Amino acid sequence: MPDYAWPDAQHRTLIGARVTRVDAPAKVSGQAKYTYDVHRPGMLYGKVFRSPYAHAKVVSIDTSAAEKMPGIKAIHIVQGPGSTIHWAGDDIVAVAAVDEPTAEDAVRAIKVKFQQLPHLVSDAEPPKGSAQEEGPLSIDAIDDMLDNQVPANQMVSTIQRDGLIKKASEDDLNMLKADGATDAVLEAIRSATLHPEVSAKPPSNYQKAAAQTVGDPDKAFAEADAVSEGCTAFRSSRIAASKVTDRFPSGPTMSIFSLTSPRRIFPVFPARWPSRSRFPPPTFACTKTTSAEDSQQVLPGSLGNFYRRSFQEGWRQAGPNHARA
Amino acid sequence: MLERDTELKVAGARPSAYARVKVAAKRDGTLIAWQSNSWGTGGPGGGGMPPIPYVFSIPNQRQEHTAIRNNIGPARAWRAPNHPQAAVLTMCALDDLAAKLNLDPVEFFGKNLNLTQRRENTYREELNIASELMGWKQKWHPRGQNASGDTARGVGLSFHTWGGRGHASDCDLTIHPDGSVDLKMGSQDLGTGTRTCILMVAADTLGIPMDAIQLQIGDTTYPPSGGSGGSTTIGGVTSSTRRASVDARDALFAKVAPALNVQSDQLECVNGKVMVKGDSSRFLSWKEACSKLGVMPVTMRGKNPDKNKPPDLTNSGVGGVQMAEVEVDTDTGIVKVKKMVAVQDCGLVINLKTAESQCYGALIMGISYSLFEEKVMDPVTGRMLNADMEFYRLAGLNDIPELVVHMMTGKGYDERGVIGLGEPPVISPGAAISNAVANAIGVRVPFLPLTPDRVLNALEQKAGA
Repeated sequence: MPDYAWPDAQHRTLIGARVTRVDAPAKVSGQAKYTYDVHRPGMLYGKVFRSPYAHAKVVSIDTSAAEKMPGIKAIHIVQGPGSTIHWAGDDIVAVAAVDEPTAEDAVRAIKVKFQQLPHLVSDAEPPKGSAQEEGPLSIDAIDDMLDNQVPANQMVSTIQRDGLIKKASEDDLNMLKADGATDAVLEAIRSATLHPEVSAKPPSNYQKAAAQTVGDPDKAFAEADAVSEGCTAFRSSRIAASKVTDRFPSGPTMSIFSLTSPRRIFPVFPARWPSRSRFPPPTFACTKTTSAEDSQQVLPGSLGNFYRRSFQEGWRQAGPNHARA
Repeated sequence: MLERDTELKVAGARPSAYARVKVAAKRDGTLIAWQSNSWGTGGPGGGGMPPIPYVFSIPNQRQEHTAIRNNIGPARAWRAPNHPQAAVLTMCALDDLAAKLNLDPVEFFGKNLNLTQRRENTYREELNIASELMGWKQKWHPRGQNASGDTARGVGLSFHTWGGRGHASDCDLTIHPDGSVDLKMGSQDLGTGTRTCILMVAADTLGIPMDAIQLQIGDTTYPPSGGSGGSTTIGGVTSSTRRASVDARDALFAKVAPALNVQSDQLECVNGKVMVKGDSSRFLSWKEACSKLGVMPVTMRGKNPDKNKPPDLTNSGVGGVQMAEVEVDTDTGIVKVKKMVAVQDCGLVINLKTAESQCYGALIMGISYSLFEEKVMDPVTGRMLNADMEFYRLAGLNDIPELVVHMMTGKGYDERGVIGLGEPPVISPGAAISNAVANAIGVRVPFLPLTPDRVLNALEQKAGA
């Protein structure tokens, strides 16, 4: 049998060493290609009509004007009349067009009527008594348990105790199996008590999870020498990676090129140049360009590429970094 | 590709988490009980309870959790889902208890490391190293006793853990008769150094330079290999690469052995040569050796996991300790991080440089979420108020202090195999920074991010109390 084990420290030549990334030269010199650099022949650009309301029902959608616009290749209704929308920004209609401005124009030409519903965007402490006790489970809830790696025996007992909102279809069972449900869990789902009346009730915004107890906390608290009580919170933040822009060498003239909204980025940055920065603020010119190739013309060579890249990447991903002072 | 505002509004956010925590200890600091009543939202789906108490399995516990289903938009996995929240809710509560007992947190947490079970030794070593690197002994003072004029300094710490077992991965390594080598794999490089690490493993095994190997990744026509997520890439891609490289190398040895008049198990690959073990005078250059393949290249499929080709090359479960030093301007409420220390285990480190880079990046992102990043919703319109570049603020160069990273390597770590590192180091910064602020100003700021208004509120309440 060949020896697949990792070589020990004396027999390694590279593993464990400090090695510079092989893709570093391409990235710092602006030669690396990002999604934004890809321009395929006949490529279409997508834009989405999004819900302006946090909670609403879609009443009607009229895409007739958008369909007639030149350059529009496809219109797809993502959530049609009758759909309930649960957050502002959710997809309603998607448009594909020959370029971005055309797609934007088409989105503006789409007419959607909504019936607004009351929304909740707070995550403050649930009012006393507001929380729904755990009830019959949905297939989604069971899938969530699999995602959260709840042990199979615990899943079986929860399913047996709470039952299901509706009978699981073969498709549901196959999906759960693919997601890692054991045979015992699948059997518990097949034989679970059904509570179809529950799905008819509007769900509460607050759902209690099962309380968990280990040992005897009451006795332990009573016997403790010191008890500390407090409340801490971690507010919701967005998910995408943050990015710190690079240092600037001394005072170049810099052109910022943005394919989307130069107006928004232009006034922010010079005004917020850190006063204690070791580098003088760059001077700015702002040009709205229509393609990445155009911007390459203005600042030629690797320096231009570098700034173009770092700015495009910087603005797209992170926005300006400025001192609070 | 989304515009910036759209990305902030629709791409999904990290679920929020709140908890009322009661935690108890004996006089000497031994933890005995935990009770928490937590809530939070992941948008329309509700969301689950963070794993609290985190890292420390306190013997008596009661947890209640309420998920809030609301209309803020969807939740998405933000690097180490639910762990940064769990670290904040747990480590801040434990740090408050240590302060109540007048104990130095290093001593207090050190006393309870047996509650971390399997990782006790790792955490103990890491805690010692982190204390040295931070200069904790010189810097720590009891809460609120480290202020001069309108600035207060403080230090804080936190612990974290993560799984990180390598995902399923296939790759094909081919040695051609002309000496060229190529490796094909479906996984992509997120920008974390995946390409580099694959090449390092293959080159180390074949004894040839990294640039002698053509690497082709990130295409669905290549052998299937997992996606990026859960810190599972490094363990998966290096394990399959190692197995493919060993098999291809041994196939080459079988062809070369007669030419050198030895058994194939007497050969090794070193410095671009295939030579007889222990006899450096009997060798073929890599190119000559490969010519013995005749006309047919040799291609080997490496897999992870592969029970038929032991040992297991990847593993699960890491420990990390982080410390933060902050300076708080008590007039303005502005928190400035002065130094951060990250001590991290991830089993066998493939590339020390990219591993450290992961930690540097995590600390920078950690400072960003601890001090600035917050999705602010308008209760009237139900929309996000700060979906822009200016008011959804991120850490910039001016916000990044001295960062010290120490990777645990050598005995006790290397033999565990390769374990993922993408997520673990981003877990602790929030708790470490919050604890440092509490140490500096003598009162807990009960929210993350630690924005100036919240710091001033906490100071006012302390003054009023």
